[in-house]
Amino acid sequence: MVRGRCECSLIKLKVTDSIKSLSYCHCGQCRRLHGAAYASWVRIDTKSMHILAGGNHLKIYASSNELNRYFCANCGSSIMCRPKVDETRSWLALGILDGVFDLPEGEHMFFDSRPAWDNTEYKCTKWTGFPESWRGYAD
Amino acid sequence: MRTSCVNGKMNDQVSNHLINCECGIVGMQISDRINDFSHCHCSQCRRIHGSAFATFAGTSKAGFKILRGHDCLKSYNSSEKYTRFFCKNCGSKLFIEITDEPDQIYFAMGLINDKPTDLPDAYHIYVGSKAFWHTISSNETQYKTEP
Repeated sequence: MVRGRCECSLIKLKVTDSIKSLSYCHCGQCRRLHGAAYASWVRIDTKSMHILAGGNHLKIYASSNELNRYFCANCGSSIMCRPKVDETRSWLALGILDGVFDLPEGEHMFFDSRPAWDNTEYKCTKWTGFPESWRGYAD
Repeated sequence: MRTSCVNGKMNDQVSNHLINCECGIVGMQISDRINDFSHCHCSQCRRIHGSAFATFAGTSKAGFKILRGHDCLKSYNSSEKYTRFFCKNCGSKLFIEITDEPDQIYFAMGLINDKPTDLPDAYHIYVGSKAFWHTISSNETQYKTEP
């Protein structure tokens, strides 16, 4: 089991099943919303995630026709995203999870959308768009 | 104010960037030199930005302007020193003010796609707190806390 929280601790959650995939998204949406070089996402089954506190502080932003993103209205912490067509899967922002836990090998997605200032030599598998682990996301 | 040194030469070129949050409500302008460029691995940045680290560029407060969307700006004091600003509507993380650097603003580089001509060399801070799942693969200078 893994626990997580936003920075102000209003929102607390736990995940009771394994993390299915790890992806680093370099798309412009993720970069702007996360204020980072890329977002780090772990896929879980939505039914394995339990909001323990602060559900009413979760703000939803529809970043596209397909995707809802959730963040803390108080501190701005990016919490998760979930496709509108299939809410059985959620992608949690890895940064909010506490402790040490098992993670699958990561993969980069929307890798060619990297900004010009990012000249890091990234390892791991690279995808131009969505990797296999996101299949069915926008069906 | 920090000075910008790129490849050993002093750089007097001035940035001029118009940047927006993802939903476009908050628009900002940077019209002074970028004088700092860093990746922060602290747990606050990790949690708020939802990734291994957050990347910021520093510029003078005098050269940073909010053009629109003031009402949509939300601030959060993640500590006594740091005030973080984000868009209330879309959650985009925008910029940080630091109490002991009153003349500076640090804005999120996620908002910029190009490579500013005055971008200094990057360095990493709070690597002592970095995520167990992240390996820093670049050769840039690293600081356990701050320089």
